[in-house]
Amino acid sequence: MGENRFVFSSAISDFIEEIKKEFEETQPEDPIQWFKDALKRHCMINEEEAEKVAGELLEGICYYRKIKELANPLEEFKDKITEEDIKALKDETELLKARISEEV
Amino acid sequence: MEKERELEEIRESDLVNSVAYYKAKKAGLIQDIGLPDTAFGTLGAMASDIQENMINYARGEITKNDLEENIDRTVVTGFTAIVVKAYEVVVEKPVLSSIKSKLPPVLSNVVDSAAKFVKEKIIQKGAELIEKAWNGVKSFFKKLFA
Repeated sequence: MGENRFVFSSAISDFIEEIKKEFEETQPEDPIQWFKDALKRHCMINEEEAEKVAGELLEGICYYRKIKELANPLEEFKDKITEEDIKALKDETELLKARISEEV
Repeated sequence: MEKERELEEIRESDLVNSVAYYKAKKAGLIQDIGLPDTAFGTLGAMASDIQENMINYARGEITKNDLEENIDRTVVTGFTAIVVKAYEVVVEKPVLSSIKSKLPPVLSNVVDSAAKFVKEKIIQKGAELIEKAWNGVKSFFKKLFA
C-alpha cells in the first residue's frame, strides 16, 4: 500500500519534463495564451473548456500562494480541518519525507 | 489591483506543472477523488516549491532539515488550499470528508513526482538549473499591467 501511491511518479515527472521543454523551446511572449494552448494540446479539451480550466487552475495557483503567506494555515481554517485530518496528513508527510530523503 | 498582484506571483513553473498535473488527471495517473479543477493549479504551485527546494538542497544552499521543513510547509499549505476551495464548491458533507481522507496520498504522489523530476531530469542530466528560464512570467505581467 505504501508504495502504490508513488507508482505513477515517474510518468508524471515525464509529463513535467515534456511540457517544460515545450515551454522553453517556444519562449512564449504571452505565457497565459501558451498555457491555454498547452491545455488544449495535452489534455484534449476544446477552446471553450481550455479557457474555463485555465481560469480554474490560475485561481488554484493564486490561492495556494495566498495561503502560504499565513503563519499557521491549519489553525486559520480549523472549522474545516479536524485534528484527525491533521494527524493523517502528518503521517503521510513523514512517509513522504523518508522517501525523498532516501532518494537525495 | 489585488488580482494583478496575485497574477504577478505566478511563475512559469506553476503553469508548466499545472498542465502536467491536469494531464495526469485526464490520463488517470492521479486518483480521481472528486477534486475541483482549482486543485490542479494548487498542485502545480506546490510542485514548483518542491522543485525549487530540491534544487537549493542539491546546490548546498539549504540543509536536509530545511528541505524537510519546507516539504512540511508545502504539504500543509497545499492541503489547506485544496480543502478550503473544496468547501466552496462541494456542498455534501460525506463528499468533503471523502476528499479530505483521500487527499494526503494524492499530495504524496504529486510531491514525489516533483522531487523525481528535479533529481532525474535536472540534476542527473546536468541540465541548466531552473531559475533563469522560469521567472519570466513576472516580467510579462508587469508589462501587461504597466
